[in-house]
This record gives sequence, structure tokens and C-alpha cells, in this order.
Amino acid sequence: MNNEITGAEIVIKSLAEQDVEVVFGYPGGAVLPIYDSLFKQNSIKHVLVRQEGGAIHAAEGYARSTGKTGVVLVTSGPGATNVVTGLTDAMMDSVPIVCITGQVPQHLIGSDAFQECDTTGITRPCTKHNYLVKDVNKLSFVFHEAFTIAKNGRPGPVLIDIPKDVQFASGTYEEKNKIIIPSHRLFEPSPDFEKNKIKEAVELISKAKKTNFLYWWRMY
Amino acid sequence: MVGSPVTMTLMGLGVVGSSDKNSLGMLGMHGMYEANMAMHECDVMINIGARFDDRVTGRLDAFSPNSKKIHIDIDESNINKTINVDVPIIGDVKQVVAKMIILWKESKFKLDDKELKLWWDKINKWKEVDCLNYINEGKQIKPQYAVQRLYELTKNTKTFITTEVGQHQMWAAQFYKFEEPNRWLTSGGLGTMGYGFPAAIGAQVAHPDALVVDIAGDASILMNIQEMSTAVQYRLPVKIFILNNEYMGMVRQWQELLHDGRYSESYTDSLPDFVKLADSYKAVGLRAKTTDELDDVITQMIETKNTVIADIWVTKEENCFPMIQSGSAHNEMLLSKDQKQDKKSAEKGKILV
Repeated sequence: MNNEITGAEIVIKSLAEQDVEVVFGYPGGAVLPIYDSLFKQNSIKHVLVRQEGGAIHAAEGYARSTGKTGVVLVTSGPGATNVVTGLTDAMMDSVPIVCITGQVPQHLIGSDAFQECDTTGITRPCTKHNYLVKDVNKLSFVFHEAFTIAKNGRPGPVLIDIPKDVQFASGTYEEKNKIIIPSHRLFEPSPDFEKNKIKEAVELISKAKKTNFLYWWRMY
Repeated sequence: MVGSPVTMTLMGLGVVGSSDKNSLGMLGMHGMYEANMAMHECDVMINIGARFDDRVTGRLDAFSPNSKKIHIDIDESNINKTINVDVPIIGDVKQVVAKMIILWKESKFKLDDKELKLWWDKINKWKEVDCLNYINEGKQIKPQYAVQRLYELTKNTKTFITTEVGQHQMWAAQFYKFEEPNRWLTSGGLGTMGYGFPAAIGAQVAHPDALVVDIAGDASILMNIQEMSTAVQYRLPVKIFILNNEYMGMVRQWQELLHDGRYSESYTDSLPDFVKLADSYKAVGLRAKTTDELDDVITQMIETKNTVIADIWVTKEENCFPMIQSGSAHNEMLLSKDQKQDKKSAEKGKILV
């Protein structure tokens, strides 16, 4: 198994393949392997914030001013709970975010371990989708799918929770273009579906005496 | 192409440039009088990607009562969520609007010139109300004036504006004019105090050569002030423009309007000296106490190639108008302090947010 790499390396490789240039984050016990992989490369820049809440708002600012997906990397427990406000903010304002959280190793999950919290449970209502990755071989798929979901349809935040043992485990990396995301996970309405409605709308406008257009934002 | 008036939500500012002749600016709770009146009286409304937020609609049963409504949204769950619409279209706004434009041109549709002119005449009357009017008195800096000067002195530079949440956010939305989309970053849905400064850091990382200004309040900025250290470490020349009135201004405003001026816990007694604070982070601190100092401070702030906190001392008890109070409809806007919401709506509105 020569082409196996660690989970932490898969994380960095996935980010690089998704053209991520910058990650906003704060290190801690449960993400040390990922920070170690980050240290050994030069393509992704890391901005060290002073509190995790700052990281996710910075990622939002980055995303909204560029149209790209903002990436956050924080540790388990307080690291994860500190990003909850930002996740909710991104959910409400449709900002594409991928948030990576460390988690205690799998055999400690549910034992009230140091800096443990139920991250996927806590963030379920404030993310578009979230994952707890238990198998290192699924890690690259999860990342590529997460980046797709963050921008597909109405954009929003996606969270990936990675137990520390999965970061250390060895597995294979799958490239973005080799991955098939099940179509039921995506939402791509074609304007052709709404042909009649569009016609109705345009006719309605044409007969108006006092029209008014109301805009939100266009960025993606 | 259609010649119709256009209004934007808080999040949509800049989608249509504010100098565009068809733009009526922002609508909603602190939106423009003419935008809200047009919304109230129109007969056909085309909602493009907005979600009928409560800050936009005001009292639901009185929201744009006589209009046929078209709603284009990528998120099906937004359709008929708060406002029932006549023609819902699920889809990507860009694609749907492109189709609509093609169809409009193919069918050679045109709005009735005479009716359109009457409609604009009416709107222009509403514009004459000059709803953003405020009075500068003496040398004290009005917060509105501070934002206006900031706009005048930065409008020719590529500028991103972020905000925190509160009065300063609304004054920024009203008085800073956006000509392009995605230059305006604010926490609209959740209303997160502490959003603006880190968001400015993120925007500056992405656009190292642009001017990035966080228009902040003295209370909001303290929620994520620790990020000063981040900004300085990465040499990010983010500018923090604090409209400092020593109050949580929007809380104080609501307490004044709805709780007989009992300013419970909305005054901050022990604010830091923001100039010294900037200094302690090895950033640059500036202060303007009077209108005479304001332009110099703003110019110096823009020219400084470092992180800057500009502490702008503004009049303390200024309120943010115009305003549709909770429980009121679009045509019941308050334009100044002297107007009062009628008692019944006020009692009902009190329980709303």
C-alpha cells in the first residue's frame, strides 16, 4: 500500500485540489495532525485568529468579497462551540463555508473526554450539512462533496468533524474528478422546468401600472 | 430595460448602483421612505432572490396589499413562507432572469408610458420628503455626517465596507452609496455584533490592495477586539471606523421608543481609550471629537498603511430614522423623533423583535 497517506495529509491534499488559498483557524489538541501537515506544505496559507469566532467571520468576509468558499479549521470542544454563531450567521445569509473541526479519537467519543462535545449534534440545525468522518478512506470524498454542497443551490456552511485517530490513520486519496456525488444530494433546477411560470411572470409585468423590483444579492 | 423602480434589501445593496436612476435604495425597517411607499402601493412586485424577511415586510397583513407578487428563489422553502405569492419561480436567479429578459424582448413588451410616468411622478413626490434629512448642529459630529464624509473621501477608491450590528450599521446602509455588488459585507439575517471586524480581516486577506473599512459601534467592536492582534500580525491594513456614542445605540433607541426611556444596561461606562488600545497592539489610533477634525482623521486613516482604529465621537442620543416600528406597516413610517407610533400598534409591536 505505497500510495497511502495519513488522514491529515488527505485533508490538506483535498483543500489544495479545491483551490483553497487560505484557511482561517486556531490550533488545539484534536487538530494537531492537520496542523502538522499544514506546516509541511506551502500552497495553503493559514491565518491565525485570536478566537475561533473571529475565524469563521473572517472566512465569511473572504467568501463574500470573492465568491469563493471560506475555509475554517478549529479544534474540538470549545473550538467547535465557538464557531456556532458564525455557522448560524453563514446559514442565514447564505455564505459558502467549509468548517473543519477536530474531534476526540473515536474510542473516547461519548466518554466526556477532554475538549469533547457533540459537534455534529450541536451544529446540525445551523449547517446545510455536516459529517462525522469515521473512515479515513471516505475523507477525500467527504471533502469534495462538502465543497460542492457549500455552493450548490442556496449556498451555506458545511461542517466536517474528524476524530483524531482518523487524522493519524492511513488511507487512499481520491481525486475530485474521480468522485461521483449522488444527484439526489444536489439541487440544480433548470429554468426550463418553470417555463410556464416565467411566461406568466413576464406577462404580468407587462400589464403592470406600478411595478417594483426587489433585489437581494447576486454573487455566485 | 423595463424602466421600473428598483429597491434593495440590506443584503442586496450595490446589486443596482445607488446612482442608477431607477434605484430607490434600501427598503424595510430603516429603509427609504420612497422605497417603502412604492412597495406599499405597487400593483406588481417582482422579488428577485429576497426572502421577505420581517425587517423588510413590517406588519405582514399590511405588506404591499394590492400587488400581484412574483417571487424567484433558489430555496423552495422561502416560497409562501411568510408572504403568499401569485407566481413562484424556483431557480437560479441568474438563469431565470436571463430567460425573462429574452421573453420580454421577444414579445416586444413595454410598460405603458403614461402609467409609468404617473407612477414615477408619485415616487418623486415621496422622494421630496427627503427621509434621510438630519440637522448638523455646532461642532458635534452627527453619525450620519461621519458616514457621509467617509463615503465622499473613499468613493474613488476600491473600498469594501463591513459593519457590526446596530445603529451604525443602518447609518452605513443609508449614507454609504454602493455602486457595485459584493462590496458591502454585513450580518443581515442573524445580526451578529462582532461580525464586521473579522469579516474585514477576511476581505483584506482576499484583497490586499483594497481599502477595507469596518464601520463599527463602540459596543460591537469590543465583541471581537482580540482580532486586532491578528490584523497586526498579518500586516492587514484594516480600518476600524467607530461611531462612538458610548451607548448600545439601537438598544437605547428601542428603550426610548418603547420603554419610556428607561435605559436599562445600554450605557457603557468603562469603554477603553481606543487610541491607546490601537497603540498597545502596535496599530495606529486616531480620534475626531469635532466636525473640524473629521476629514483630517478620515484622510489620515486612509493614507496609513497599517491597521487603524479611528474613534469618532458622535452625538450621543441620535436616533436612526426613518423607521417602521415593529407592528407597523410600510406606509406608517416614522420620519423623526417628533412622530410617535399609534398606541395600539406600539403595544402590539412591543412583543415583536
